[in-house]
Amino acid sequence: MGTHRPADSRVPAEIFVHEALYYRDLDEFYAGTGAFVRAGLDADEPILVAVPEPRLALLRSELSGAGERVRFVDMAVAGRNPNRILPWVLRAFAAEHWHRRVRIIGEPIYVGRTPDEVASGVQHEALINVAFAGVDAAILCPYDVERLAHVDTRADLTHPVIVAGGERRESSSYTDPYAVVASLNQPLPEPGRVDETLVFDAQGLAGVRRLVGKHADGVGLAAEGVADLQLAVTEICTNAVTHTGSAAATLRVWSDGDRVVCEIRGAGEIADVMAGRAVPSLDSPRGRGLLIANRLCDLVQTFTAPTGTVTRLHMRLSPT
Amino acid sequence: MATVTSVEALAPGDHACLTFSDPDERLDIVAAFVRDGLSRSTKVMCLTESIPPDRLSAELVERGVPAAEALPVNQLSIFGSAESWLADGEPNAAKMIDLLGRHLDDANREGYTGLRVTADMSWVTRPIAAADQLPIFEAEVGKLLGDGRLTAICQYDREIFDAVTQAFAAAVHPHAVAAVVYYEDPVLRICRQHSPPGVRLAGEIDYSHVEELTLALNEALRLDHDIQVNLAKLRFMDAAAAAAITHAALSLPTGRVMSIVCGGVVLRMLRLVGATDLGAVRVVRAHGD
Repeated sequence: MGTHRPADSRVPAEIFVHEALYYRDLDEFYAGTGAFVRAGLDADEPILVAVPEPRLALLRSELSGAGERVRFVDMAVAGRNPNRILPWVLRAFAAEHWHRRVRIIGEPIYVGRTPDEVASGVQHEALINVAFAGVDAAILCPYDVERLAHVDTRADLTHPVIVAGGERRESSSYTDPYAVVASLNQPLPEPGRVDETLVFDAQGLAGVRRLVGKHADGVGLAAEGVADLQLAVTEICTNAVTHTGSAAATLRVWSDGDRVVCEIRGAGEIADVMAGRAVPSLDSPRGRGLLIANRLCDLVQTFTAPTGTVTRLHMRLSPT
Repeated sequence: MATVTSVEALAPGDHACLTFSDPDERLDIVAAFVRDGLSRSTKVMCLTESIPPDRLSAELVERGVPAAEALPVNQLSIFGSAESWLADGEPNAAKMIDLLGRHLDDANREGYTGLRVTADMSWVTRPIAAADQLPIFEAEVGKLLGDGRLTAICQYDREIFDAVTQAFAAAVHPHAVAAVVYYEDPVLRICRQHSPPGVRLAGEIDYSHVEELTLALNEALRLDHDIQVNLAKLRFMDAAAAAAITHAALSLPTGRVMSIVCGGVVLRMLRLVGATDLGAVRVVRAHGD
């Protein structure tokens, strides 16, 4: 399946398969994911299942016969920040089994995601096509189409193949992933209230850390979350004042519901759409800032333009 | 005036002062001095004051000195001030010199190649201490050193000695031992660690001092087979600095080890960049983590 060259030239003709599974109920979820996993078991391929609860537990018991051969990961934890899924979940699994074809079920957009998380999830789905181009892998992404009916998932734009009602078809609206990402690169809405503003330069990073620590601590973020936010903010602030040759950048901090948000505004445009989702080689001296922020924060939003880049780092007060 | 010497370079007959403000630096240099003495078959005597004898032996062990083996056989002895300077109630330089002379004779008789002495000089600042005993002691030690069997380091704590006494100490000692400091400013200090050999960082480090860190790591790797990167006193490290440590660890051939003492956010960052997964790296959890 899926290894033939598609008629539509926009669909990558690859050993890589990226399918959306549209399910309307648990039976369709079981049928679609079960068939996908069984094909992997038959071919003796390493299998990763990354879906949120309760489907994770349901699928685990459904597939209990497979034993150790299937790895289960709670997507709501490992993929809480959708930007984190590609480098730290999918690519990490593929890298672990670099000599084998891997098979992955990933459900990044599920009921309960906030609109900003969904937008981040759509970018993630588009960039899977870039990151896995030429990789020997099959990825199936379940979508709860009934309950996500009013959510802008754009799954038929980001998946070359759609599986629905037991039928497999090529997606006629599959779109160049770079175009999908570009369409979501939009100015971020202004917050209602900003608690702290600080203009800083390369000498001011320790001051940035102190300000972020004080605010996050003051609004009740747990100590480990405070430390993680300080690490992440430092990395993004470093990028803002070093990559661009610009002298100064601006930090703003506020609270939004149960989240602490730190925004870094600096000169320079991010040219590489994979920034923060690609893991540099171990001996690379730099290029990890956004990647680390993605790993540590609950959501990372970016708006980048020739006039500058805005990055927002969100940390939830109550861990999921 | 004293010439600055590395503790490893001290030779029999040398008389050095160690003027310190960082307690870790003092213990590091004392540990290297004791370690080298034990491995060169000399007897070693530590006269301690601000650190109780039990704690000093524990600190030495922690820094890789085989104190637990050397203490029972009297190759190493550690005396608090109650057993040395204050044994008669008040400091007396002549009696101290007698004590040193006896230990030197013992070392000779027992077949050791000589005696190493390191003395915490803070007894001088005790209320009952007679400051006039200090110049007598330093002058007499100088005479004992004449025949090349004794090696001595006198420790002066910058925090408690006045400038005049520090200047006297610098003048009367032919050598001064100090840690090599690669970088120092109010928020970051990078220096060589002598025992175990390696590099010690304190404060906060980011991309702006990666060059100095790399220099220090490279020198440590040139000097020693296995090194310790001591980050116990480092409060913050960014990805660029963690990448520099990763890069150094990656350059190690099979069989050589970099142990990293760290905890908290520093350990977290090392994990994030993948340093902790490397075959050459051993993570040692810092105290209080």
